[in-house]
Amino acid sequence: MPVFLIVDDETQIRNMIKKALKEIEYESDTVANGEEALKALFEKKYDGVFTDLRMPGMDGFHLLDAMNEESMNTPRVVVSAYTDAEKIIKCFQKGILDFITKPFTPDEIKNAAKEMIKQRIDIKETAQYVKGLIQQNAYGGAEKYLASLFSAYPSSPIPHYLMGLKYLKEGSELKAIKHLKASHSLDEGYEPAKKLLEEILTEQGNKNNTSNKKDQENGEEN
Amino acid sequence: MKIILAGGRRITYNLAKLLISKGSNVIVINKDKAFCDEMAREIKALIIHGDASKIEILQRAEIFENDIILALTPQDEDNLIISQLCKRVLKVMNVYTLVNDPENVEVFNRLGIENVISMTEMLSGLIEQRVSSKLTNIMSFEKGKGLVLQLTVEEDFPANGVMLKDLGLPKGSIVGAITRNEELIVPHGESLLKPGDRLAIMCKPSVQTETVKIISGKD
Amino acid sequence: MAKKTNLYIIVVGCGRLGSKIAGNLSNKGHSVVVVDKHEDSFEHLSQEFTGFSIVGNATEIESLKKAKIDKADMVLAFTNNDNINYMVSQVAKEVYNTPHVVARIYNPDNVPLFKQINVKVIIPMLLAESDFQRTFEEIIGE
Repeated sequence: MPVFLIVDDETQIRNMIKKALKEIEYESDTVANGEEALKALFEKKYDGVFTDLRMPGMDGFHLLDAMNEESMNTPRVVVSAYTDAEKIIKCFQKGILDFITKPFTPDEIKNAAKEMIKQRIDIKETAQYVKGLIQQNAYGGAEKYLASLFSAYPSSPIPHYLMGLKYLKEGSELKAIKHLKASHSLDEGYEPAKKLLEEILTEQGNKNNTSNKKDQENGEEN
Repeated sequence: MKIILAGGRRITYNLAKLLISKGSNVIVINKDKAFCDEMAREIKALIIHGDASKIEILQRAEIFENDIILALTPQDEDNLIISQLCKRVLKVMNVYTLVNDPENVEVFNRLGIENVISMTEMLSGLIEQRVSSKLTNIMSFEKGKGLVLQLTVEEDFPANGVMLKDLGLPKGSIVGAITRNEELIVPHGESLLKPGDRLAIMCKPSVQTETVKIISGKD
Repeated sequence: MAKKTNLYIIVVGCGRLGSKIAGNLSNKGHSVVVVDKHEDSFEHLSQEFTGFSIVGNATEIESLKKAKIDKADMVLAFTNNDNINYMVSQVAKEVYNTPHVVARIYNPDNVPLFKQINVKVIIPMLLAESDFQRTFEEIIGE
């Protein structure tokens, strides 16, 4: 069941959002400011965040900044009484999915929650799908998904691994190695990248050896 | 045919005086007793003291379907209900409604009130025209199908020193009169335009901008 | 259509009746927005009220837009002025197609006008406050 984090200093508002989510059977945890929100986000994986802007302590703007600094990919929606374009634009620049003005209707909350769930790309599922596309030589389709994976999961080794896989299939070994190395450096424990990289390098080594041998043979002939 | 003025103060007083001087049969409805007393002293009209947004007060004015009613109170909600009572209950055809908040013009139109008067919009329209060109006056007739513009020719106007027939005014636009040195000239094609000439132009709204541009060189 | 349990309701006018109904409805789990010209009026709202309040003149369309009248399931025009209630009701009904509109009327002579625009009316003179609940259930239950 999807779980959301609600950040607002007013109990009433927290309860109203919680209630709207409950109606579509979404769970939620509630906190009262940015600091508490960050703590919760570190402790638990959420499907989305609803945050107020004006709060005592760490406010919504700073929370959005902090989430970006920590490269969190949890989708976020602002729920605020602010209606001036400047603040709304500022929030969108900080990578929010939607801006809901108070007063809000239950439907606005529900739709935003559904939208956040849609946004959340399941990386494993997508990776499997992209792999299939690469095997079918459907590179165009694969690239589209890869682009969204890169933007949603910039710190994951998986997109780079898939890039490597694609280049290998296309025959660009050098590019493949570059991406596999990038994948490996993001997460040294990520086995698929490590294995594939080793395979390519060994094969290359063999090739080099054979060609060296050939060179030597040729040299001998000369 | 009667003209009923519901609510309003200065504008009602002046309008009533003007209409009566032209021989109209005017009824004033106002809920302010002191104002009613003053009106009764000043003008020859039937004055009804009461709230025009109440049907029984309107009924006292014995309004007929072909009468004209103007709702002139400073409250939009009062003007709306007066207008709706007249239209929907009394079946009056000519209802004119003052709208104080310009945002309500569209709202009232959507609620079936066609003839709305917005002072704010009219004034801001006038000011805008004044700013954008030397258009000194504007009036519409035949429910906006025709316009009268008043424009004073200046030195730097393209029309300065040009004969009317050579101006190339669009179809649906005609200079009806020129006021020069306080004298009214009914112009013809050979009339030469000079600085200071005040032109009265009749035109269709569709060619208003083009007409002004040809004469003044500005939008 | 399944009966919605959480309606978005705008209450215009936060006097004795408006504030009481607003508290009651929010307590029942509905999302309630109260609009009143005077900020002091919100003091009438009880502790149990868990909704929004907006200071604004309801005859200025801007205030109703701020309250998101276009999304309202129900509008209650409960000011102490029949003319304002009429304007709010007609705007809700005919401009925004609000499904349920209820207006409070002081002058019984105005009833036909309100009925003409298909607005449910309650007349405090003829109706005790507690009866509103029944009227409400009746409207929602349609």
